[in-house]
Amino acid sequence: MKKLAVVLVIVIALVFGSLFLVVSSGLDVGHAQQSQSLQVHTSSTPGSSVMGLPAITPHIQVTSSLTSSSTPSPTYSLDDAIHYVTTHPMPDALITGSKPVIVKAVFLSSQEVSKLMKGESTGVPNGTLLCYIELQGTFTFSGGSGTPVIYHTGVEVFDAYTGNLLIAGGQ
Amino acid sequence: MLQQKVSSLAGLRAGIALILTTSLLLFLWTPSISAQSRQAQTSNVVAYTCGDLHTNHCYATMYWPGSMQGEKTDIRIEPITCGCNGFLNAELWVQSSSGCSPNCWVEAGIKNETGYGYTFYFWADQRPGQGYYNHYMNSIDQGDIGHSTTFYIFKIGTNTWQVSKTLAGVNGCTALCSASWTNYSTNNSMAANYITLGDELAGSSGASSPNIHFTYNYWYNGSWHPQGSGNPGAELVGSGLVPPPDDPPFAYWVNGQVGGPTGGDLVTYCC
Repeated sequence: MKKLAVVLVIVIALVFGSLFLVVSSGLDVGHAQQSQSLQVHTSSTPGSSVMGLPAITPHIQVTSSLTSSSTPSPTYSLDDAIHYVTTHPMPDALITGSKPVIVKAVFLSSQEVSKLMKGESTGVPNGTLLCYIELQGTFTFSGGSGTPVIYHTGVEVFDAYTGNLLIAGGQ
Repeated sequence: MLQQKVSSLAGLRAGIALILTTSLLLFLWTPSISAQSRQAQTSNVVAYTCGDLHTNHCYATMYWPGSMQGEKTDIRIEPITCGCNGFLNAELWVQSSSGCSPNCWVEAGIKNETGYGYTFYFWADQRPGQGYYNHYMNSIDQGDIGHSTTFYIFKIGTNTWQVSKTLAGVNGCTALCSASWTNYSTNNSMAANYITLGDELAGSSGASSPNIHFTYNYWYNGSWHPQGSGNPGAELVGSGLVPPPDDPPFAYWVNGQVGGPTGGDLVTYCC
């Protein structure tokens, strides 16, 4: 009878211990998932269908009449874009020599931007309004096999509506 | 009365036994927690020598020489962390060493880079005489994680290469998935003569990723063919190949099987 009681106590302890482990593990998993979620999608990251890296903060309200047009006006000014480019390094580019100089800053259609980039596709429809910034300087990018490529014209292209950086490179 | 005493004594014994057994279980469990914590801490401070954002990067890649017109692969999406001073990519390249200096390529994959703090899709091209452009696409979404995304890079016209990211047919994302997209590398006359896929690491510390699987690896010459070991010169290339363990990032073929009937399963991880 006494032995039976001891066995019963051990079984209960194991059951409670297992429950404790399961609950604890569950909390860990929940925590991990939450962390992962935060890392993947925070308020500062773009939505999964929004293209580009967050860059220029839109602050000009687009009026209802403009939103109905096929090419809405930009939500920021060229000065905003110039300020952003001069205060943020171009992603993935090593700048050597003197500080790059902005030689062109303009809002253009995607089709016109593509022409300025020697036929490079912008990835958005031809009529989409973009902000094109061209710089002169020395820009080094990592090459496909580790050999760097160097260009003296740098380009950054932003979505005129979201302000996101869509393209950066050199030619 | 005596019966009551005996009963309460038995209850007390049971309580003590319960506490002791639970303590024993907790004692056995605690070292594994500590070990995991130590491992996590250690992984945060792994240092490596992979140049900076722009040069002297480290690679753990599979190299497939030979003329072709494209490739596709399924990358199982995992979050790449980068409390780092560089970046970590998992991607595929279609490249040309012919008529380009130093080379031309179209690449696509996932990336996390210093200053951004999340994993995003990207593609880029270096066209013969036309410049280098990096296209920043969408972020990975919760539903993408642990599921495969198919990346295509293949020639569809005289000077045009299609670059796509889409749901994989096997283990593809089913809910909370990021948007698929198709872009084009235009005005690109490169004559592709080698394929690479794997990881690229830049910087000196702070980047990491769990195992990322590259499956259903196919090359294209008008139709799709699974990658195999029969291609002369095909080899793992980089500083972090396993075995033997070396510097990050790391890459290996599951079961040592290079390619196979469905293109094999290349695994990369860091750091």
